[in-house]
Amino acid sequence: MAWSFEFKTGLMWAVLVSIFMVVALWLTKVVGNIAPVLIPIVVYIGFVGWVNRIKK
Amino acid sequence: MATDAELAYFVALRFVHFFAGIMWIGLLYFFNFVQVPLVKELDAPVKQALLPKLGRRALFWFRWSALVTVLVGWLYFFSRWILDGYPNPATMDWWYYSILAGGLLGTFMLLNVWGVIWRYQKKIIAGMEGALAGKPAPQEMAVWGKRALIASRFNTVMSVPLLFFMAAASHLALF
Repeated sequence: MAWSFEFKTGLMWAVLVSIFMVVALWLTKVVGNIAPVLIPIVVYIGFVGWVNRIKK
Repeated sequence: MATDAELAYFVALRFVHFFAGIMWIGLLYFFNFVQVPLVKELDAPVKQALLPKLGRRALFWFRWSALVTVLVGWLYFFSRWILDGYPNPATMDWWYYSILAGGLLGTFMLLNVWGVIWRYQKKIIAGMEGALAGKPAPQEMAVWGKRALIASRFNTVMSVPLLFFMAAASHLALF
């Protein structure tokens, strides 16, 4: 797998979403409700919005 | 203590989840580790003849196994949640947190499969089939391919933490 633009950006977004998922679940435990899970969901929506706007 | 019927129900769900999941992630790794590097070495006429037929077959099993994996996974999660007496985040044990992390990552991957990868791959396949029939290929095909490939790379990387959390749910309690 070459370090192409597709690989680098796919890697970056996947790592970002994974980190935010771990943080959100830890926060869920701390605050006692499931609301922090919205954080990785928003980051993922950011990825979908970004990838669908690539022009060339 | 779960009854025999409940245990059989959970084993059946788990089996279907694993079976479909192996098919999904296996095809994902085939695309990323085998097909994409191979396609770069093929001549244009070979690509046009091969990729639509391969794509239609492989993506059929890919997208439907992804859907089955995630739906059965959530069914398992909520069945256990109900059976455990609706635990809330303050009373949940590690299993719930770990499965929830893996399940949400898997759900994002499913959305990528249907909303990005398949959405653009079906246009690319139709464009290639049209080109074989003598029609001009759509100019946006390169952009469609790039968007689908980024989502596919995203899913390949994401499959690592997903599998970690799925395995860790029963074998590693971090908190």
